[in-house]
Amino acid sequence: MTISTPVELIVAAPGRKSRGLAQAIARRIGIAVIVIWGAITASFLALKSMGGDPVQSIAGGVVQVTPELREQIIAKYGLDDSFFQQYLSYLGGVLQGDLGTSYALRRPVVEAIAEQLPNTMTLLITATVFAVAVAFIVSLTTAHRGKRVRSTFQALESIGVAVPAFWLGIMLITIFSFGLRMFPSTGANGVAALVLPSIALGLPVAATLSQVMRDTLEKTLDEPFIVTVRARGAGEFVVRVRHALRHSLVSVITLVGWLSGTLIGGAVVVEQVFSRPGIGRMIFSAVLNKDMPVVLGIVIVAAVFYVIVNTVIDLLYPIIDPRLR
Amino acid sequence: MTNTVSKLEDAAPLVDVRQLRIAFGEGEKRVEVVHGIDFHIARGECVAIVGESGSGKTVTARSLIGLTGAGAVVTADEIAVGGRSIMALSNKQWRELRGVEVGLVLQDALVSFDPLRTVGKEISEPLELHKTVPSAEIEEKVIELLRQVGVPEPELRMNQYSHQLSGGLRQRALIASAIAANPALIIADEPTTALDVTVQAQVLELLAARKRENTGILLISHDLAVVSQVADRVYVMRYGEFVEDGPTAEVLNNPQHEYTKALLAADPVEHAKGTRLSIQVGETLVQPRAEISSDVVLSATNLVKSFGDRTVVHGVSFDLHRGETIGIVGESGSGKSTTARMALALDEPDSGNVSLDGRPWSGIPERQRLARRPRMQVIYQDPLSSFDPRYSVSQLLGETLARIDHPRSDRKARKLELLDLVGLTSSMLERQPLQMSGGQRQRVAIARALSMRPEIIVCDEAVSALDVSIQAQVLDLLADLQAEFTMSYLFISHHLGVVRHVSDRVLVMKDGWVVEQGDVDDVFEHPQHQYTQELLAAIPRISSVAEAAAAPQQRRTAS
Repeated sequence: MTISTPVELIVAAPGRKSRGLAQAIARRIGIAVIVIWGAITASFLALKSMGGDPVQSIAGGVVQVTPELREQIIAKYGLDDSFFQQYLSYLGGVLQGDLGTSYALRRPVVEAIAEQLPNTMTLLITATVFAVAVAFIVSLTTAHRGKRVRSTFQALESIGVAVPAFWLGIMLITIFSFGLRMFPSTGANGVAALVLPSIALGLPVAATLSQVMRDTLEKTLDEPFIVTVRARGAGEFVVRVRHALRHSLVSVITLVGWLSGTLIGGAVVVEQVFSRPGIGRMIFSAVLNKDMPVVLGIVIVAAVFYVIVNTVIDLLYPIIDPRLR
Repeated sequence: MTNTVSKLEDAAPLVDVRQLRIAFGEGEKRVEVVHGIDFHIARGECVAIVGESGSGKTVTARSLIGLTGAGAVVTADEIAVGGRSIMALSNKQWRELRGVEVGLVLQDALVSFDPLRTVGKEISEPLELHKTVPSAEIEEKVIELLRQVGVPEPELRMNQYSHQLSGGLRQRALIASAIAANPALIIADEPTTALDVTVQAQVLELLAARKRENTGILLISHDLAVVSQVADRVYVMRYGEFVEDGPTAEVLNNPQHEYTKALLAADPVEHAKGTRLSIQVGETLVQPRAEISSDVVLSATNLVKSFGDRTVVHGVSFDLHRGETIGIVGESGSGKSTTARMALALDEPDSGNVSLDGRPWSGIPERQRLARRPRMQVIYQDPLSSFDPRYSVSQLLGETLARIDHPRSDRKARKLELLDLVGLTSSMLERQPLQMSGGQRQRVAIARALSMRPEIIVCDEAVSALDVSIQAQVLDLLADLQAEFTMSYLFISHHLGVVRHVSDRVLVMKDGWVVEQGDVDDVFEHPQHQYTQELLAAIPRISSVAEAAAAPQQRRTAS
């Protein structure tokens, strides 16, 4: 028996590991499906209970909807089906990759979103990078730096968190576009047009992140191993950047995961303020027009985005902290 | 000794400290914690500073590498390392000194290594920082260092993280990182406190080996037995002052100061059960002992427990009688704590059973145990983790009194009675756990256990985190309470001296097996199993100090 044990171990170990991995993947896909389905259902319910006349939305500019036209529209969009039937047929469409046709744009929702999505993704990514970079710099330079520095930055961060994005956007436009004429105030052409919206969207996130990061950095800097690192002759830069920073990354990425939802919400406001094309602006007008397929389509995109971001983050945890492997 | 002294005078001392004072805080709030001490260390000499927590020994050691912490004010007539004054170093000069001239080994390698970096990267850090080795040769040097400190398979180990190493290997790796840039002085601050005895012996041998390589060692410890193994000279520190110093053998065999005597007396290794450890004037040495009856209060039969495919307990059996203490001793991972958890019915055994007062205790639904739970209480190593930190002592005790439906009108009186039993005053009632010392917290934990009027107390490493003199007081308290209430103890510890002192019978565990059991004196005086013999041989004993310290001196005389 003792001879067979190592053989058993070698045979059993990879099998168990791959089963664990398969289970984890299956679990994650299951969760993703539930999140997306939940988002669709909740939005569907909310939009339907908003009331209003979908025929009027679809007819759009036509002032007087004739009974014939009404009949046509109802038949084409299946509006006389029961609520449950409409819900099921929409889910069926989603499963086939069909998000329906926009009432107002009169084109497939998938196509309309695909056209606008890159603008928004660019904005989200630059805003996140900006937020993380600001949070890194501020927290690394201010952690454990005396009461005065700390309270000054804490006050600034509280303001940063509290300032509404639309106000910040308007201030940025007033100062840097109209005043200093450094950056354009509208549009999505080129890198320059990305600067102000990214700041408006990223600054509140940066303020939140740097507060949390400083807390974890300070906790780490009080750990016994930091004394060991200093005793090896390491300077402040090595202590903070090589050692403490990585310890704060776990909480930073967790927070980025949560905030990714907020960022999409923020994009709606920021795209509006800067007249920037993107799915944020698209959903804004779709809600006003009661353009249900577009609203639902963007909700699905946001849910998928949220799920992807959080999956990536879950995969990053064990890379950052080997104890989680 | 005269030979030694003349040898020391040949070269300038490695460390020369005169009138060192260290204070914290500013203005009126300034508190001086070290009050003008002198000490020196020669090359190849190991000097120990011995004292309890709060004595100022750690901050004294840290003053040699400029890491006394924010807000510390260090003044002295002289602080010199390697013949050079280090009293007015710039930050950059300090960094050049740290790691190269002075290396630091901290208590617990688990928290002293950056847990997110591999051991190899941690060890190579001083080499990179000081560019002592060309970067192409760093890996080779790390392997060599690991080999030097006796880490097997260094190529494999260097790519592992500290949490993947055993306690002993981790501590060796920490020493490797401290000696990487070959410093002339190593500061070892409680380097063996968190370790099992056998590993402790190996680490001490490693320090002794560095000493033979002519490295000076400043050993900081509260454990006189550890100090006696490697130190040539010892300074006994209390409240920021040295109360006594001299060659180790002389200080330990012929202590002059009361405090040194008290420290020596507090060490449980040398005391059999029934003697007091913390002696106060006018007290008798002999302690009352509980009458051990033939009633079996707790019985374990063939307990087996596995986690996954690893069996951690293989068939443990014992009968605990009323008034008796059974000690379970073993190194970490031996299965002793799992045995305790099964006795407490916190874990169900895979097979075998536990009975309490002759009635089944394992293998029954929890609700059938609930009414009997108060009869068996537990005290852990760190009460902080089992107390709600926002609760006051009064609330902590009130919680358990409510649990046993103690009459509401009598609770206040009962709380005071309990505090009195464990030697605390009523002023403690409104304190919160964080406002108390480790010893006080452990007393509150005992009071809380007693509030349920238990018959059995399981002590799981209950005194392992305490200083010797506090440990002595808590052990005395437990013994007094046992005699007063005829309680039974299941006493789990890795510390053989403590187990020997408290136990009537002892179980020695290794890898989940009970390798030896029996009357405590039989086991300790005539160990049958090879493992028990090894464990006992590894205990540092003060009584062996005369020979241990004499050997290196003879060697010096000869050279």
